[in-house]
Amino acid sequence: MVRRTAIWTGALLLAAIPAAAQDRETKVRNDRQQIENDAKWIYNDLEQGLRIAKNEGKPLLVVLRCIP
Amino acid sequence: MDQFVCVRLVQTNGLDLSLFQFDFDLTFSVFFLNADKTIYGRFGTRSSREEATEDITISGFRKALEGALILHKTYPATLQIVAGKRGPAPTFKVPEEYPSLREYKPTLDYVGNVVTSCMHCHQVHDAQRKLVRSERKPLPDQVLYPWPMPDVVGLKLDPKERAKVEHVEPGSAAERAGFKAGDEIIYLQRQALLSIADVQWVLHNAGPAAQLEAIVRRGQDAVNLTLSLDEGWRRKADISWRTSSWDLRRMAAGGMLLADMPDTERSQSGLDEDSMALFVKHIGLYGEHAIAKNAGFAKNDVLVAVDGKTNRMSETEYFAYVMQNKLPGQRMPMTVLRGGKRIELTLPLP
Repeated sequence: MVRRTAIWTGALLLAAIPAAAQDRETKVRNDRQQIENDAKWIYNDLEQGLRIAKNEGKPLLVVLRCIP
Repeated sequence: MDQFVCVRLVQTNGLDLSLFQFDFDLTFSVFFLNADKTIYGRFGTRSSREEATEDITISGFRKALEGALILHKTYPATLQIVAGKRGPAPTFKVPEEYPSLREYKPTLDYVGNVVTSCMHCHQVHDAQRKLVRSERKPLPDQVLYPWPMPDVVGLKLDPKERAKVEHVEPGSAAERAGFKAGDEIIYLQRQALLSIADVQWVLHNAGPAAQLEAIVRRGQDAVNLTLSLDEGWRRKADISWRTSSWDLRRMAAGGMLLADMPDTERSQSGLDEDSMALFVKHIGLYGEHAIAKNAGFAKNDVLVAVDGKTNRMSETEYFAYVMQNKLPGQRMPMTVLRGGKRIELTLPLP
């Protein structure tokens, strides 16, 4: 559990470092594709997150990520 | 993290500003929420352009997550200690209601060009400043120095922890309040703290002069402290790293990027340590960022007098002087040092 959290959080923090090799258009679209293919994440839909959190009794973790 | 419902928001367009009040110069910020939109806490801090990740750590993030889970498990009994985490009603409900951001739509254009449709977070800070400027008012300290780092009051916090004091600056407000290295700040203004960002939230909303109540864990004890902040306490903040300072360079410096000349270079130019020596690192070429260039300023100039002032100042202090004392349309006399000669120029302010 601890190890899994470390991997998740590491990926999350590393995602904050810009990938200079890509233009922003590509980065935004790749980010969308990556997150939408990840069952653990809800992409750009706060209301859906709020509904699921209410139904499952979980707190929300909302990451605001401005793709540079 | 699997104990959370995880949402990734990538756009400022349409953002509910009554809920999401954070440091808009960040490119990575986290909110821990209840489904009823109660805010348990924030995570995400930055104080440098070059070292974008030095203020956040995985360890600190994990501890913030754990803290949020504790608050959630005991909610709503914990409501009282998180109630202050919702901000005041915003001037505008969503960013695109700001006059300078009305060109943006509430959603992104993934069919066309997503980037041009996407508002950057820092543009909210830009819009707040433009709004005040358009009203021909001095920029308030809270708008000029948003989200102060705890360092401004003399507290260096450990980024590997939630809000643990690593160092207390001698002579600072924090030292006068009685903070000590090793203290864990548990509450500030009756708010439970999950991160350095939560400390910044309290500081951001503190008045021009303020008394902030803190409870710290010191060994086995809980100690009550009062942090007294004098008028102008925010002005120790350095805002030069902020992306939103780029627009300040347009408004206050006609597109010049300025840097206080270090002592070692001053002696070579015959400048003493107390005098103004703002080195022009970059000068804009287009639009209102070219105002300085068009007025005769050049890269590598050194500003040694601004509007009759010759005292040493940082770029941030320069911004503050102009944005709080000068209005759009005014012209500022300046003296620059170029190739060993002093040249008199005038900068028109947009």
